[in-house]
Amino acid sequence: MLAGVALKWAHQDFSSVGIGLRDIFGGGLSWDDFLMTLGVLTLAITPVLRVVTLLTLWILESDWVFVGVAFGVLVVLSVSISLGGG
Amino acid sequence: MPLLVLAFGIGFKVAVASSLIAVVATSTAAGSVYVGKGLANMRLGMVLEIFTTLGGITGGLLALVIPSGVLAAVFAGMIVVTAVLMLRGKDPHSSPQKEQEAKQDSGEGHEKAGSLSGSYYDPFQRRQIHYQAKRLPFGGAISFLAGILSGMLGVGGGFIKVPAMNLGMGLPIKVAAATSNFMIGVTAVSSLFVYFSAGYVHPMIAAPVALGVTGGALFGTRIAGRVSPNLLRRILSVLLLVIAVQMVLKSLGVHFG
Repeated sequence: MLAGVALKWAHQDFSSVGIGLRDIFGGGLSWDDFLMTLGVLTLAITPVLRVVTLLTLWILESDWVFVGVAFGVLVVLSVSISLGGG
Repeated sequence: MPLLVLAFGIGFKVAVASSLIAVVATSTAAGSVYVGKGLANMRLGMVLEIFTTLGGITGGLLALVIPSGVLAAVFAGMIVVTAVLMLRGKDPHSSPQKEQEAKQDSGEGHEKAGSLSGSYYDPFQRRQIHYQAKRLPFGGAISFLAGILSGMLGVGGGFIKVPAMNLGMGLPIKVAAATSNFMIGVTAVSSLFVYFSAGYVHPMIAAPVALGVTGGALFGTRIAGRVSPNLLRRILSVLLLVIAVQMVLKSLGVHFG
């Protein structure tokens, strides 16, 4: 994020456009927009990784009830991410 | 979020998307501290997250169809309520005893595997505090509502979840706050991707906001102990009321400058 913002500042380009998930992976973004968006996406993924980590820990502890709960949360988040790709 | 709308003239839904990213940044930075201390009950957090994330998606989808003016008015109403509660609320550090308690860091906490119970050591009371989450359906319903508000207005939802967990589910306030802090990042993400799909995430706005919030949170934790809680509460309450009035006027089409 910081690199993208710094590049934008260096280019004196403060234009702001909405970017969807498909724009990130479809190419066509400027390098500074790509860096900023990648940073935002990385930040957005960290809570998902938090849930995945808990799921893994509870599998190792054989706490199957909460494995199911964490899996349920991941399913809901997957629905949200798939909506985002639409 | 109101600052983005009122001071920078950014569209309400773009501001909400940026605010959700800020919530994720705050949760990531602060939540890890509580998890490390064992204060956040992650099992309870995950159970409530099922309801909150469903609420978040619902709120995000509702925000796409509800006019921005209506959302701004709802947001203004919410912060008026928050401001009034803050002005009327008692200062938790109003006595030397309470100040001493506030300065004490809680000891290591533990959650019991396979259940929604746990414990932590309270150094002020000098004993292990045990707790068991109760009234799960109530907590689930409130979490769903908090998720809807988060998705619609770009807030974390903690101002609803913490009182619900503390007063409704019987959790100690420190556990409720720590668990909520852990949860709000996941809640924000559940609706954030809905805003991605609608093109409301502007990296040129979201990235500086996230960076600023992270830096501000780190700075704020350093100076928090040096500021009078009473003064901070009054300043914040007045500020919130001014923002609420401006948000209502903006939603009615009255502009300044």
